[in-house]
Amino acid sequence: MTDNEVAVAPASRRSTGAPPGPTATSDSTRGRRSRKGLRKSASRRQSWAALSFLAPFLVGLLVITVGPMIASLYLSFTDYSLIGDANWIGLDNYERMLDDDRLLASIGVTVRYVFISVPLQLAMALGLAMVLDKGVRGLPIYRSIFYLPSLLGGSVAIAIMWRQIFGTEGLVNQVLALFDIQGQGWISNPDYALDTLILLNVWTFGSPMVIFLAGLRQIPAMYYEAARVDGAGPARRFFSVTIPLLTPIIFFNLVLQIINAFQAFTQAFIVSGGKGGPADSTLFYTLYLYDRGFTAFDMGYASALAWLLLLIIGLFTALNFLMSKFWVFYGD
Amino acid sequence: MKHTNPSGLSRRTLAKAGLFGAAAAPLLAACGKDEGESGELTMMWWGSEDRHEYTRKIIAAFEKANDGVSIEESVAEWGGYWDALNVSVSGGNTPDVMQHEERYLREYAERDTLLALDDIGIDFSNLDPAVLSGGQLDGKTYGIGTGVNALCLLLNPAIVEEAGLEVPDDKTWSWADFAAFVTEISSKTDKVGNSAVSFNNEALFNIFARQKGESLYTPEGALGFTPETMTEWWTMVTDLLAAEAIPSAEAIVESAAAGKDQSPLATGTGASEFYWTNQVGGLEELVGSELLLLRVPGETSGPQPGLYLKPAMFWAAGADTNDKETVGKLIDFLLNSDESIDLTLTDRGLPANLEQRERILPDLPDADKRGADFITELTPDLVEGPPVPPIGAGQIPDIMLRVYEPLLFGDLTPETATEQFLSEAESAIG
Repeated sequence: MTDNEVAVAPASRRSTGAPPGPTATSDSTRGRRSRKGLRKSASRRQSWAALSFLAPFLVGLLVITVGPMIASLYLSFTDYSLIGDANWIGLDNYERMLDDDRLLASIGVTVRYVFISVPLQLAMALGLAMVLDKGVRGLPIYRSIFYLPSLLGGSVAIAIMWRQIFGTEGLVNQVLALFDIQGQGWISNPDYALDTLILLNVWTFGSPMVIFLAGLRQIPAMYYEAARVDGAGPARRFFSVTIPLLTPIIFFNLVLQIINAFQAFTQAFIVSGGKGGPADSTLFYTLYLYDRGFTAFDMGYASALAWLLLLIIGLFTALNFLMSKFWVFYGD
Repeated sequence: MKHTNPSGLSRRTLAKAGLFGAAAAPLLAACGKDEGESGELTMMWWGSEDRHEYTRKIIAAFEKANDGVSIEESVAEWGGYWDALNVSVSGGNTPDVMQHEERYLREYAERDTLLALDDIGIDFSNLDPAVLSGGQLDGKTYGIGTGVNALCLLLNPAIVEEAGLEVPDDKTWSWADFAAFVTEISSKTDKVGNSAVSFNNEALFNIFARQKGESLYTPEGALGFTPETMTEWWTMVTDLLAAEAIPSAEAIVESAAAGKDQSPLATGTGASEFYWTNQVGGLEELVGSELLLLRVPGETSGPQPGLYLKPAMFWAAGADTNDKETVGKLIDFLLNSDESIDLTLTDRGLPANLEQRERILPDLPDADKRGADFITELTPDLVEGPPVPPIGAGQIPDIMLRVYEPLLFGDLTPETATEQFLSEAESAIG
């Protein structure tokens, strides 16, 4: 059997499955039924095979994601303290959020982080992708080098290094000292601590860059040629050809990076010593959630916070999709 | 340096658990605790590498003395210990024996996760009654203090000399004397008078409040000081900052985050800082010279002295242990046996066992000996120690830090810092 036949089979089956003609006898219906039975058991066998191949993923999904999510939803309606019993308290946890100043502060910090770092990161990623797309020698090497921070950026080691670099005696201030500039304790000053984390996120531009690079390769060269013939300069070509044709990719990266940035945890945890300090200036939403759940014996509330975060991220993603109608161009 | 993580979960996994469900813990609970054989205990403690090493030796000695007993350890550093412990407890894997701390003792005891230690064969007869009462709630002993520490001001005499000053009389000096002294050191040398990584320490503030006849917590578990007292405390800090007697706000935040080992006193760029008496040896090693132990200022300025002997840490046991007898034997061994005390010396405070305390005093290393002498000399002047802190006390250090940092940066005034502390602290211990 060739691939073609396999592909065609369901279609032909569908056509014979039409209401039986007047010539159809009981025999033929019986025959069809038994054939159907055969097919059924075969497809059942196949679905078992499919299931068993999917099992590792499904077990993971159910045990590590769906199960805890359901438990968390339940716990968000309780006063679970992590070391005691969970008592149902209805919507109390959600009501408490309304006058929780630190929650508000943490949302403020997180939103600032997302809305500054994601656009900067994407601009950086697109810029470098454009440069690399020009056909640099040794492209794979550059691509790997630029991609590296994306792999490392979320790691504990990099966060510790970041702390050193931006410390009072750190690399940044040593370089500034060469120009007779007296640097700050960038991480210990509440006015700048968040900026260093934004910079860290921008630095991990590699993964959107690689996606942009692939997107740029998809743009047919003939559009550029046509634009050039019409006398369009590089800027005009960028805004009238590259950007419009790249909008689906930009959109994809935007959605992904916003979701990621909302969930940022490791960097802030390490850089701020786990407290979101100094003076709550790096109190990311996730850090506050962790603090409530694991150090303040308030896991019920933390569970409710987790669901609020899900809602917030869902809301932003939905907004993103709604707005995409006005600027994303799918080329058809 | 690799620590066994008692929960078996990495911090990132925990973070994800928090994020994607905050609920991995109860699921783990469902996976449950395998019913350990009797004689197989788990033991959990925090500390430095040194403490891990000698504690392992104590465990080995205990296993040798008791056939068929094996003890599995899990260790952590202070910062990660409490996260790990509450996840372990929540997962049904409460350690059979664990180190505990006064700020958390009530939290765990009142949630029925700790075993009453009164009738499991531990010999209380030589234990300091004052230490014992520090671990008792409603007439039951949930934690036994390993030993006692006192807070003291460590002073680097070389820097005092460099400034051309005399070491003040610490028995009578007031907080104003202290402020004048550290300010003068800062102005006469290129060092700072005080490291300022302790003004957010609630134990130090408690001493200040006690000197005024108040206290951090009442026995009923409410806050026990007036707002004026705390505002006065923060005003002292801002005055010191304005006088440049302490480092800049950024430098303080940075050295506090880097750990007390990195404080100006430790690095030789500051003259003084408050420490517990069992930390003297470690600090002298870092500074490389002998330090003076001074009493906290203000002891004779008010109606009563504020200093007290704090149980350094507690031994506690998990309520769901399946071998109470061995647990009792182990804690008894840790507190009362020669082997254990010879190895521990004063690392877990000046031993709670008074007989053992006497026995080891002459042989202590120099720094520990001076710490012990400091406590001995101080003890007759003290009044009753503070009560066991209320539930939620574990959050107080964070809340102190959260008002201390903006205060240093000028984002809060002493008054608003007090206001914010009171509102957050009340909701934490409410």
